[in-house]
Amino acid sequence: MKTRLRELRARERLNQTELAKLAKVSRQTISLIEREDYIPSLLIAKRLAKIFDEPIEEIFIFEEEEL
Amino acid sequence: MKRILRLLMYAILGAITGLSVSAIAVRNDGFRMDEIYFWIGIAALLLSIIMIVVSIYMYRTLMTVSGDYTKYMDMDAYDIYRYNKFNDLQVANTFSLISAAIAVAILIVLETSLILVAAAGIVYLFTVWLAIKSSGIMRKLYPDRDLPKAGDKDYAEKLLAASDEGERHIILNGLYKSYNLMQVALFTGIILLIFYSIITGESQIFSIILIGVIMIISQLKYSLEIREK
Repeated sequence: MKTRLRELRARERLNQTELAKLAKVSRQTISLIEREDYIPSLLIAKRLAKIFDEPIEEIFIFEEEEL
Repeated sequence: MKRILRLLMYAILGAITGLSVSAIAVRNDGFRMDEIYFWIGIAALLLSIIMIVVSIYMYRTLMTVSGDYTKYMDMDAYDIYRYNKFNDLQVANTFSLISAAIAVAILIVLETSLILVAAAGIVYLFTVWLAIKSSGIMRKLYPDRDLPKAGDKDYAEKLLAASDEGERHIILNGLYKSYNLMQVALFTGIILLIFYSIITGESQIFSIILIGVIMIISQLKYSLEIREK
């Protein structure tokens, strides 16, 4: 899975801690997702989609063979 | 299969280490083991005292920075800093606590002077107090989070409940790796104890049984926890 989280966060001029507060998670979780070390739950993905006003599939991009 | 192979590899490594240690011990049979243990006890006591000083220094630095982190770094850097420094503090505390416990054990078993035993005992009690005090710092570092109080009887459960999914992912990875390492280390320890018993003639059968029982209990607990209800 690839993620555009870092790019979108930069677009909104948010640091990891600020985004974590908005998404009601820890900064560590945001860092893990950005490093593509962790696939978030649907709830967190939905919250992030809402924050960036983007569909989930535009933030988290899966390869065809992963689906 | 991979795990068994790894266990076998560590067993062979343990055997080689055991044989090497034994060979050295045989060549140096002029040494009195009690004397060596005594100095190991003193070294453990000194190490504990050094680690106490390190812990206090780390504790004070962490409290100073957390008082007003904006003077030193930005929000993200501070979050990484407090997390890593708290971890370092826990490591320093563990070092001092275990070293002091080893020192107390050795000095009591060797029936050294009462003053030394008392000194080691005081150092040990201080490390226990320091470990509790350091656990309490977490609530000061994360005032906006609902973290359990140090000494709470359900501390581990409450801490896990207060963690989010990413943090739990990190905890799970860390615990799983350390669990595997612990199993291998204990198994290697049993092999070393066997060689030690044979070469020195000091029976370590009790320790070998104890470690074996601990390994079995730990595996049983894990299996019971993950069993599908």
